Amino acid sequence: MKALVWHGKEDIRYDTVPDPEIEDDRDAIIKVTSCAICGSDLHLFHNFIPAMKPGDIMGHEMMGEVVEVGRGVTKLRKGERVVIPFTINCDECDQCRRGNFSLCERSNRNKALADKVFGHTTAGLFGYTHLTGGYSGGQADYLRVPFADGTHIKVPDSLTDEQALFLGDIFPTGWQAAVQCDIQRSDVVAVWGAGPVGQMAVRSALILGARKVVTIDRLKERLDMAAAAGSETIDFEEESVVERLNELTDGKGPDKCIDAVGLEAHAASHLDSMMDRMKQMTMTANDRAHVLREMIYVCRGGGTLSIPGVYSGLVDKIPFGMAMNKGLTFRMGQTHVRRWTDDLTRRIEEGEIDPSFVITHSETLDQGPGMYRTFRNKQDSCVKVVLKP
Amino acid sequence: MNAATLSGGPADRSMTWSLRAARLMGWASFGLAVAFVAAPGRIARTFGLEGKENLIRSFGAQEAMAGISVLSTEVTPAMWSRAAGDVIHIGTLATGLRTDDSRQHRNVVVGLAALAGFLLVDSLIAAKLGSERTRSRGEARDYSGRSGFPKGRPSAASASAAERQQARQPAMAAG
Repeated sequence: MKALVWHGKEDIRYDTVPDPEIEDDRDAIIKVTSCAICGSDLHLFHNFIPAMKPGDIMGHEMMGEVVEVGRGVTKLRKGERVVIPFTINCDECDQCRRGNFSLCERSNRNKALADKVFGHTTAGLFGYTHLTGGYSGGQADYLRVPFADGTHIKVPDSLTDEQALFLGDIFPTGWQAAVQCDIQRSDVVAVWGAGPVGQMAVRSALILGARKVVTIDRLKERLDMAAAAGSETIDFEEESVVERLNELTDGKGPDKCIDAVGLEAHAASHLDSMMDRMKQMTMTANDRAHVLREMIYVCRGGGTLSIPGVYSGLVDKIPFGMAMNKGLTFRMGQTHVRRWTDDLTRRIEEGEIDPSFVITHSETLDQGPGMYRTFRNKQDSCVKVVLKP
Repeated sequence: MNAATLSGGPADRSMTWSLRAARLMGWASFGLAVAFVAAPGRIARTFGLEGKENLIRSFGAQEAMAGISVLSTEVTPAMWSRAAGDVIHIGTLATGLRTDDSRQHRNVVVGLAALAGFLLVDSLIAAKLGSERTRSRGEARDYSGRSGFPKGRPSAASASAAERQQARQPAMAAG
């Protein structure tokens, strides 16, 4: 089959690789009909996430049709249409039973390594680092789905691929980011980053009843997209984020702050950003944490910081004393995808939201390597790329 | 662990030739760094730079840093920085032209020509990388119609307290 394969930093290739096979009774194989490039794929593209290996198949946003199931699979049949969540779930461990699906204790086949690095293992993830199992991803013609009974979302016939695809990651990720904010009707929610997850977080915060949502980015088309949903916007290259947020909140600061940027913040004119870039340039740090610092500074006392953005390692110069004295609450984590998807599928079916609004580019899989560049460089007003094998 | 690649062509790669060329220059920097640190005396004698051995050693550190930064994700500024380093090397090597030794004089001329070539190549790569990674000025498609809400925007009043509570605590039962 064909797949997008990681060969090293900034080196993704459209290669021919062996077809996946059933390796365990609980596996299923799906024929991928749609997949997408995620912002966190760019962290792998840039090799900021440790423990990638040449030959790894990329992709953790994918859906398709079941073409083969192992003997132990009871909840899936050939021909069914499914979205595959990026987290692999056994459905039997204590964390899965608690709904903490991204912390599944059994799906990471490199658990011993993860236990050493993280203290305790997290779930196996598709198309990600070997710290999370090194499972082949879905930017491919076919995908092997381990623990298939727990690792799927059935797609209603009424939904197109484009409407359903993002149930596997960015929609529940934006949703969880907003839910973690425990939004009240009086709340002002500020969202840093108007990429795909930020866009979903903006809409989720509005659905959950925020009084006002403010989106911060530097790209006009992305800010326009956020404004289309009803968000106020701040272009951080044109105005001071702190001053503008204080203006919009009568000097109080936003009640809730969402970091939908993560480790590759682009703010260039701040001293801390320059230092972060210098450290990345000399390979002495992985994370550019400007957004995190700015959120801690501007958030209203007693507020909540919700962090769906990915960080990779030791984050430098975090004003934790400021956070402690302001009584801020930090909530974060990889998304417990299936905790949210029944509710979100219903909302899409009922027409409350249509996540396909975020798709700006749809290409065939062979165009994938070039689309990684286009997406990374934010060229052609690219916000979200869908690839069709 | 993962599927081994059976085949793949250069045309199907995300790496552009300019990035591959930059990486090559980055590794070349490490080679130069080793030479500068390991044999400053020999380099000084070759180019009529006797007495400047410590300066040559410091160029070794500079080249090592250049190599590291070119291999990082900040490759465009790193290549411009490498080009700036070429200018400094040219300035230093040019002082060797004052030598009375004809062999050293010839070596300096050859060295200067090589450094000028490096400067040109580094600058071309940096310029190409910059143009590849920059958005066109004023580039922005109109996404102002993409609300994502087929039935219209929600209002704060549309989410009841009960619905918010349900959204926060959906059914946890797995499977």
